Amino acid sequence: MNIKFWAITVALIILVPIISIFFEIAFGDYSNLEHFFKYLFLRYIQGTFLVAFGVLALSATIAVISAWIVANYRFPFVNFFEYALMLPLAIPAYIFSFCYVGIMEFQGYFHKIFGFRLDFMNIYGAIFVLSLSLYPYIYMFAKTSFKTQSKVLFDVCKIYKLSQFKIFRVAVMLSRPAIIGGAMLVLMETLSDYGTVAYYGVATFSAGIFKLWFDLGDSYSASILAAMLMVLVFIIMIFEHINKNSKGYSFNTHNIAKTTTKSELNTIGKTLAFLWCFVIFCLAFLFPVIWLVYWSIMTIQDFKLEFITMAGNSLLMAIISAILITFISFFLVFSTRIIKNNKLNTFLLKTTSLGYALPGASIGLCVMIVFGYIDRNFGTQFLSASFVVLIFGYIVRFLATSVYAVESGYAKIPKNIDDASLLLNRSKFTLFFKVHFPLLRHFFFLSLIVVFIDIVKELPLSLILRPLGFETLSIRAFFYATDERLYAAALPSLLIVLLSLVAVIWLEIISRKKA
Amino acid sequence: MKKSILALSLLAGFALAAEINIYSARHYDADTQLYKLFEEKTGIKVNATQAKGGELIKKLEVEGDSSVADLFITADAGNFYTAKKKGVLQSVKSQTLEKIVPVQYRDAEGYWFAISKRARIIAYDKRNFDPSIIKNYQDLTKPELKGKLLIRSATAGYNTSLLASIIESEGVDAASKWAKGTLANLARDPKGGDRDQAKAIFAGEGQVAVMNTYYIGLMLNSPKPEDVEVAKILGVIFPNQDNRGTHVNISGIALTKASKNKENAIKFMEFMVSPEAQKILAGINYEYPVNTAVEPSDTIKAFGKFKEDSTPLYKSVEKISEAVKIFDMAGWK
Repeated sequence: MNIKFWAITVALIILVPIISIFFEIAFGDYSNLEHFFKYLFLRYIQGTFLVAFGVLALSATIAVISAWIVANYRFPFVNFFEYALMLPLAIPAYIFSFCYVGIMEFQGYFHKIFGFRLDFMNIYGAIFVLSLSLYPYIYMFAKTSFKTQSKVLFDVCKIYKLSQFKIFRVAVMLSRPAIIGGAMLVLMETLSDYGTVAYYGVATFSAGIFKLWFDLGDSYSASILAAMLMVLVFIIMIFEHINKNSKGYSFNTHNIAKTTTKSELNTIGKTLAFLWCFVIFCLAFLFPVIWLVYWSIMTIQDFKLEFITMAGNSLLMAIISAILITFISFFLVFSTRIIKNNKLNTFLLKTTSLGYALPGASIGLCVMIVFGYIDRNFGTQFLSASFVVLIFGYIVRFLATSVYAVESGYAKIPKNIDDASLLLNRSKFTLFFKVHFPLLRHFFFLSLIVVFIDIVKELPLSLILRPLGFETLSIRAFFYATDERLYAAALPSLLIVLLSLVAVIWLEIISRKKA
Repeated sequence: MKKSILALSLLAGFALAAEINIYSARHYDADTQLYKLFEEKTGIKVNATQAKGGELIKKLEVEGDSSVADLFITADAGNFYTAKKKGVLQSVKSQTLEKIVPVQYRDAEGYWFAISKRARIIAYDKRNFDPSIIKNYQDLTKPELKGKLLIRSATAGYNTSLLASIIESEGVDAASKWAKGTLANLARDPKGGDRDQAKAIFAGEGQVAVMNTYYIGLMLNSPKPEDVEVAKILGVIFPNQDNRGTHVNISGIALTKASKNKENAIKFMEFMVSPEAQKILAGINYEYPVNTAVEPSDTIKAFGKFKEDSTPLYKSVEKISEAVKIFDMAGWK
C-alpha cells in the first residue's frame, strides 16, 4: 500500500468542499460587494482584529499559567483542578454568552450581589466570554505537553540553578508546538464564531459573511468573504509552520516517557495557586453551570422525553465522528512525517485544517454544494436523507482539532526514532503501532475528547446538514436561545454539558488505566 | 452499524405514500403540536427539519428538483421574497387560503401565505415616559428622544422589514432620514434581542424601544418573575394609527417547487389557517392569528385593537435589500 497515494487521496476528498467555495464565487454577481467594501469592510476588519487579538492574549494567559501550575505543583485540590479546568470546553460559546448576559443583567446575580452593573454586551464582554470558553484548548494541549516533558531537561535546569520563572520560560518554549497548536484552534474558533459576536453586537468577519448571506440574500458574495478569511488563516498557518520548523526543539533523550514530578509549594504559593485555579474554575464553569442548573430546575416541567432521544443522537454522531476524525488525522500526520520530500503532503494537511476557521454555516454551504451536485446528477438523496453528509461535514470542520492534537504530540518524538525503526527493516505499520502510538497515547485521547465535545456542542453544521426529523441537543438549545427563551434553553444546554462531562471523565479513566 | 444507518437513511429518502416533508425556520413547541394534530386528523405523516431561513432557501436552491421538501415555513416575509426570487417555490391556488388570509399578508401570485402575525410596536416606560410624543414611526427621530431610544441591530429581519415598509410607503429619502434620525437618538449601540431592549428600559438605560408584540406576551407569561416585572412596566404604542397603520410582519408557509406530495402539502397549508390550528398558534406563542375568526390570546388582546398597515407585504419586501443598505449607509450596527 502506498501511503503517500492514500494520504493525498484522503486529503483531497476532504478538500473538495473547501475548494468548492472558490467555484461558488465564479457563478455569482457581486453588486453587493461594492456596498460591503465601501460601508462595512473597515469596521468588520477592525472588529475581527480586536476580538482575535484579545481572545488569544487572554485565553493563552489563563491557559498556560493554569496548565503550568497544575502540571508542576502540589496544592490543595490540584487533582480536581487538573480536570475541572478542562470543563468549560463542554459549554458552547453561545450558551456561555447567554448565561453571562443572564448573570450580568439588571437584577442579575452580579447586580444583586455588588449593587452595580458592568456593561457586558460589548467587545470586551465578547472577548471575556470567548476566552473563557476557548482557553481549554490551549490548556489541554499545554498541560499534556508540560506533563510529558522530559525530566532530564528539568534536571539540567536545576543543575544550572535556574529560577522557577526561568524554568517556566524554558518549558513554555519547549511546549511551543502544543501551545501554538491550541492557540491556532482558539484563533480559528474565534474567527468562525458567529453566535456570541452577533448577540453582543460586535462586527467581525463572520458577521460580515452572514450579513451578505442572510440580510442581502447573497450567498455568492458571502463566499468571497469566506474565501478571503480562508486565505488569511492559511497565511497564518504557513507562518506558524515555518516558524515551528525553524526552531525544532525535538530533543534527544532516552527516557522521553518519564514525566515530570510535582513539587511542593510554600504556604503563600499554595494559596495563590489554589486561588488562581479556583477563580478561573468559578468564572469559566461553576457560575454559568449554576445558572443553567437553576433555570433547568425552574423549567423542569418542560422536560421532554425527546431530550433523551436528542442526547442519544448527539452521542452517536459525536462518537462515530470523533473516532473517524482521530484516525484520519493520525494517518495524515503520520504520512507527512514519514514521507521524504513531503511538501505536497504538508500543504494538503494544512489546507484540510482550514475548515475550522470558517463559520460552520459556510462549511455547511460548501458541503451542501458538493452533495447537491452529486444528488442532482446521480439521482441520490444524500442531502436530505442521510447521515453521510453530516458526518462528512464534521470531518471537514473538525479535522483541524485532531490534527493539531496529533501534531503537537509528534513534535515530541525525535525523528531518529523513525530512522532507527525503518533501518531495522520494520514496516511503517509497525513503526506507527509499536513505536509512535504508545508514545502518543495521551494525544490520541486528547484528540478524541476534544473532537467529541466539539461535535456534541456543534451547531451550524448539524442544523443545515442533518436529515429530516433528526435533532440534537445543541439544535434545540439554540432554537430556544435565538427565540430569547433562555430559560427553556437551559435544560438541553445542561444535558450537553453533562454529556461532555461524562466523556471527559470516562476517557480520563481509560487513559489512566492504560498509563 | 454505519451500514444500517446508511441503508435506513437511504430508505427514508424514498417518499412513502402519505407524508409531507417540511423545511421550517420556525421552531416553536406550537408547531410540533400542530404537526401531530394534522397527522391524527388526516393520517398524513409530517417530517420536519429546522434551520435558519436563509440556510433553508440555499438548501432548496442547491437540492433543486431532487429536494424532498414539500413545504417551506419561515418567519419574516423577506425570506419569502428571496425564496421566490431564487425560484424554489411554486404558486398555489386555494380558495380556502385566499379566503382566510387577507390580501396584504399573502403573495399576489400565491407563492406564499401568512399563518400568523406579529406587530412591530413601540414600547415605552410607563413609569416616566409620556407616550403622547410618539404617534408614528417617524416620531422616533424627534430630538426629544435623544439618548432614550433602544433597538436591536440592523441585522434583525424585523428591523429591515420595518424600514422596507417605510421605503414602500414614504420613499427612500424618508427612509434614510428615519434610519439616521433613529440612530442619533439611540441610548446605546444596537445589541441583544427584543427582550434585552425591554430589560434596558427597566434598568433605566432608555425609555422607548422598538419591539415585537409577542415578546412582551412571552415575558408577561415567563416563568421568571423578573421578566414579568419588566414586562409590566411597558406601555404599548401602536404607531401610525391615523395614517397607514402599524407595520405587521408574518410567519408564513409556501409550497416548494420540488414538492412531490403537492396535494397533501396544500392540505397542510389550509390546515394551518384553520381555526383549530390558529388557536394553537395564537395561544402558545402570543402571535396574532391570521384567521380573523380566531381571537388573539388574552395577553395580546389586552394591548388593544389597532389598525394594521394595509400596504401589501409582498410589495414592501421587495425593498429589503435597499433597506439593509440604507441602514449600513446610515452607520447602523
